[in-house]
Amino acid sequence: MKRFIFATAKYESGDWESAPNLPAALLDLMAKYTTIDCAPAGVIVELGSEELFEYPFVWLTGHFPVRFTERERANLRRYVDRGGFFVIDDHNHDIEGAFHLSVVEEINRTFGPLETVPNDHEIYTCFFEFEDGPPTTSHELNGWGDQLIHEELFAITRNGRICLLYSNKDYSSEWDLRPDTKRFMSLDPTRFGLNLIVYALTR
Amino acid sequence: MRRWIEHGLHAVAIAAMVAAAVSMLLGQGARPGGPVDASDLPNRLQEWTRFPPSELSVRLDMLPEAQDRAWLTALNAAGTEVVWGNSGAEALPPLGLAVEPVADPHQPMRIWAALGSATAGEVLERLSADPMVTEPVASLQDSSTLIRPSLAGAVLLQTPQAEAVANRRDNLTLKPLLLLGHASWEARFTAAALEEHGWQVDARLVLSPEQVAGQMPAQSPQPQAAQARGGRDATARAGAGRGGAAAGGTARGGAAQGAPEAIGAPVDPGVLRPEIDIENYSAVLLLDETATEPAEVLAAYVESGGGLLAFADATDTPGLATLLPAGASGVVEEAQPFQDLPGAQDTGAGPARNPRDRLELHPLTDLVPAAHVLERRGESVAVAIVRRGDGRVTQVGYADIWRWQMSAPDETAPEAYRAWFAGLVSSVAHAPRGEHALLPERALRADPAPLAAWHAAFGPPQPGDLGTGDRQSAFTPDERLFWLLFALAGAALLAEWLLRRLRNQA
Amino acid sequence: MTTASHDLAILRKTRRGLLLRAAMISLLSAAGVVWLMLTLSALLRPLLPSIAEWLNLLLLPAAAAVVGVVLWRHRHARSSLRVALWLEEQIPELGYSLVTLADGSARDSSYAEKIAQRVQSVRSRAGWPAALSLPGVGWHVLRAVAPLAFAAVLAQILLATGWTYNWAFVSGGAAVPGQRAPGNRIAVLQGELTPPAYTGWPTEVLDNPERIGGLVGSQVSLRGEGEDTRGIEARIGDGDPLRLDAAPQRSGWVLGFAMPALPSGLLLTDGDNRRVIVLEPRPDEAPQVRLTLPEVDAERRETTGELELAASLRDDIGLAAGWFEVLVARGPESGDYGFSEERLFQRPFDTAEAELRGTTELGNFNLNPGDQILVRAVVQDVNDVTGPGIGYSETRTIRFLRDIPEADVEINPAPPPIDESLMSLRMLIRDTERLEARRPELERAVFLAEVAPLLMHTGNIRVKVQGFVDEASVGGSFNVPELLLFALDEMWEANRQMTIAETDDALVHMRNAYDALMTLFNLTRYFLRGEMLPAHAEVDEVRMTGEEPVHATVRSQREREDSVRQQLAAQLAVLSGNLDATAEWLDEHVALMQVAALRDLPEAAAALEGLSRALRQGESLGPALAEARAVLEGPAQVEVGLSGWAPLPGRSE
Repeated sequence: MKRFIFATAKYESGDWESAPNLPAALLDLMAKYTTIDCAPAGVIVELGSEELFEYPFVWLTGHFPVRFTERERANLRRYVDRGGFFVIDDHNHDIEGAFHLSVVEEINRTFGPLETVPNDHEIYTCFFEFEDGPPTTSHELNGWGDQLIHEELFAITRNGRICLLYSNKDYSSEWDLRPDTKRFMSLDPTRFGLNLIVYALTR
Repeated sequence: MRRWIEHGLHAVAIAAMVAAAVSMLLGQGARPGGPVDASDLPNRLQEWTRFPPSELSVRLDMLPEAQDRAWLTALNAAGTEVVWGNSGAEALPPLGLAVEPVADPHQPMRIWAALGSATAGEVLERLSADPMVTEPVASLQDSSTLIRPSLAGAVLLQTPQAEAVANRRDNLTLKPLLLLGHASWEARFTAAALEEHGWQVDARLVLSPEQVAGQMPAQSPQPQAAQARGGRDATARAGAGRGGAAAGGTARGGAAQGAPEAIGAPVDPGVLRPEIDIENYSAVLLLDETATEPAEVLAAYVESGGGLLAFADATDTPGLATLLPAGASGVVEEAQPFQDLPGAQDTGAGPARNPRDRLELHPLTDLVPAAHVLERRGESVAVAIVRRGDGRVTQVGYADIWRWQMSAPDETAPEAYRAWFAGLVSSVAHAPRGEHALLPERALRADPAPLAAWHAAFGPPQPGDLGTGDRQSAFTPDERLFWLLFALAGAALLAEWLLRRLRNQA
Repeated sequence: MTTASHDLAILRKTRRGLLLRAAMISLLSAAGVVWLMLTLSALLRPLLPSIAEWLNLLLLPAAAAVVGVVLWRHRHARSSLRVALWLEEQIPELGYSLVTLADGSARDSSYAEKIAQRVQSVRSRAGWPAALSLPGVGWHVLRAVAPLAFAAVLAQILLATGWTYNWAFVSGGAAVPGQRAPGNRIAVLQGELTPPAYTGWPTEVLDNPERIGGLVGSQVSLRGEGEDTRGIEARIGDGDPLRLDAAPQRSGWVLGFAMPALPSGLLLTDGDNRRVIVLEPRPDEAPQVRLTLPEVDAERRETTGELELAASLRDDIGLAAGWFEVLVARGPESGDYGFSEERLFQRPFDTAEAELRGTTELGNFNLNPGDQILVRAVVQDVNDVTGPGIGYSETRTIRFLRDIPEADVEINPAPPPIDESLMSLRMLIRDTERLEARRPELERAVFLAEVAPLLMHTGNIRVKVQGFVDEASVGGSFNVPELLLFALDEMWEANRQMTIAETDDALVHMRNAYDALMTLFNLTRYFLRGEMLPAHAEVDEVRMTGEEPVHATVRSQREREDSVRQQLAAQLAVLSGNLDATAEWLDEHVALMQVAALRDLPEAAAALEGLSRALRQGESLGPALAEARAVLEGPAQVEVGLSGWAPLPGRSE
């Protein structure tokens, strides 16, 4: 059986590689709390390639504007329809920023408007419990980016299940950690990332 | 003059009625006629009913329809002796037809069509008797088993000489499926496929020895129709969002064994874990060897009639080997990319177009003698099934089947993936018969084995030749004569009345 | 007055009564027969239209015949003498006394009075025929006409209760939708479809349509018969009722609506009848635009110079405007990740195809290394009803490189800068492939001569990879990525094969090295820019060492999710099981399936159209149903033999 492999989407525009350590940080946590067989490092997969469909969990982030090619757009649509779990995180943490504006426009063109994920959704309780919805990030608390604390996440759903999760929280900055670094933290900030993986693997 | 005419007409009417009465009395004593071809029965039965002969010889050049056979049976019961023989050297084909629902929420039908000695036959579905609407289903050259995705009417098996008719008779009661394995893409996509196909799935997905996600309480048995209406009802109950809580039950580590009496009552999450038996589950799907349930429990479940579906990564589960149809796995055939697979719909037309050719395969080898191969890939056995006690076990050699759903370029891949999984499940699922679905009038029309029914009604054929003489009964009045006499009497009386009216006497 | 003259007066009065009776019975009977025949005609029309037509044709002859028969039966009232004879026949006791009085032969005789007295005497003893009195006439008339009137009333009641339709549908005789039943105000519709003004297309005439196809936003106008709109309702899908207006001069009703965006069913009812018309909208396609310049994504060092832009634009109806959208994204060297957006070279169009072109100075954008420019062309069409439709081209990204030497490693598939002396590995592979293809036709010496420069380039790349390895190990202090070592080994082997001019074997190793370097490049873009390799998790070491409280919760059941094909197949099965339903129900059911198919499964629409046609035209339904089912369910799976196991769907055995 194929092990769980964390995939980062590489797209034609923008800086897709802006959070290189994030996969390892989440995989480290995954190994600490589950017996799920997982690869120790993530892979990079081109959004416009057929290889994308070999990885049902894909992370996409960046700071620069996102303009999908037709192929990337079609792949993303098919990926979601086929049951993949796609996370898009705004590395700018800025709702006035280029990434947010452009990627939301792309999502609208591809799927229609995003839905708000209620803060009592099972994605917040399926493993670690987050009573107040999405956990805040130090970037939000420090007033970076748009200086807002984003209370909710957004999603595209299929048959009642989240299949594309969109976040303005900038988890890509918060979780872009070398696993060793987490030794010095009282609470692992990547716990919500494991919820995303558990949700994708079990729902 | 008018009066004479009136009297004349009156006499004509009486004479016509007397003639009709006399002919009827004469007809009662009709002596047996010569052999009658079965194809001529529909034309003769009415006549025989009015003027029952004491004996009938039927030459079976074709098998009469059920209603003609029943009519003749009634005549036989009323005192007319019926003897019969085959027409010529060639015996009629003993057709047989059976229709049975498949254990699947979509309620497809399995049709067994036995052609007997016939070399070709046509399977049709009769949707309406009046107006007669029949829909062609398949042309057969041999006895065959068919799967019909839906059935709205009666099934007909026709040959030039005979016709068998069968109806669906039963409903099946489906229960949830139990899915055991690690939290993995295979588990997630399998559970999703079966749920979206309409099954209720109790998925126990192991995250760690203490953490098992996705357990649901046992459902009360549901008739197939209720399952078919949807998982929609079931999920409406389960709810979305954090709807898991609404479904009751949980997967907290170390959950206690089942308490069926608690079903329907508010459930403390973590308490309920239905026992693996045929009261709770139609089938168990074993995805890998991480299942915490001991093999002997699964063995007892299968022995009692349950179905087990074991996937490639589950075959090494301790104690499971004695249940499986294959003793070992061959050399693993590596997974292939889907990119070059044509986009057209896969209908199993050939290996080159089959998306399962791109999956990793652990070929099944050393099959036990009772095993039956359900699917091959090239020379390798991909899926095999075997009966164990009252239950069945299907072993699947494919691994990472979810890649088919995700990667196959064909637009209908998700639907085909679900249908294939549902086919695997229905091959083993325990589904007891429910209430009868058959309407009485449909039951009357069924004629699943016409030659056997003929034998049952009239006994064995008369040996030798029935004769080819054309002996007619002494007097067999033509039906048209009655109508003629009746019309004559009526016309005479009407004319008499008119004449009387015209002279103001009536 | 003498008794005789009195008797004669009574005789005349009786004759008048008889004449009156004849007239009344004949007229009323004729009226009754006409009424009965008309009602019967209406009753029979759905089932036996030809007989109904005959009944209508026979109306006047039948009425005339009835009048004739009645008058003939009252022919005794032609004269007083015949009346007297008729009375003598009715009352034999008169003994021809009345006839004698009437024919005048005893007028001058002395017996005249006696005869008259005899008549009086008989009149007083014997019952004079009732018809001779006025109430008697009425009663007689009533008795004669009542059965006819009763029959006509009965038929009229049947007609009024709608029994005729039920009878017709049950018997299947009127299973031809569109054939007009009496009083059906939605059976015959006429109208027009007017495309949106921006198209300039002509109006189409709709003649009792079963399907209406047209551009989204087209105005559809339908007219029906009837005096008013009462009881008539029209709606599209599950929408609100549409507004109906009375047509001028009470000549019917008018319905107007805009063609919806999705295929829908227009449901019309008039209380007694229902009808579904399939609306088949055709969308105004969004305009197409292709960015022809810049041709590909690019990486530049210079942040100044010219940027040439060009695009070709096309629309199915007409273009309105087009422009280039230039988005400048600031990189980390500009201090933040801000951006600015500009429209360049915007201009209007009035054609369906056009070219857009322009050149701009990069200096206008205040670019810094690390910034990006994203360019796309945007076009609007002339659709002012449901649009405007907007088309976007692919986006080209121009990256302005930071001044880091590793940023332009040759293994990047992008075209290498011209001033680079090092041939990229990709180019090396391509050239080697070309040489290998020509190898059979080359002389050995020529072939070896062409291998030589490629061998040199192979060696250069091997040296470059060796440099990466040395850099990664930092003099042996760090582990070198496996992929890099693999690539180096493969380049060594490729180099060796090229040395002995075995280009085909060398290609295998070059490709292996290329794949490894590409993977590594993706993984280590930062590394190649002088940054550290991305981290990896020590999965086995940390397994199950987490200490935070967790608990896995219940997963909720997914809903059953039938595909559109499956949903339509289920609806078809329902239809197949109810073929004895009314033609109206069947027609509506198929029409709604057609709408769903047009919307989500166009490949099934043709088969459903065939089924609809078979229903409407009373053709054999079996083949049409089989075709529709084959499209929606696929063929029945057949496995030869009476297996105890169900064949698997799509099996390959």
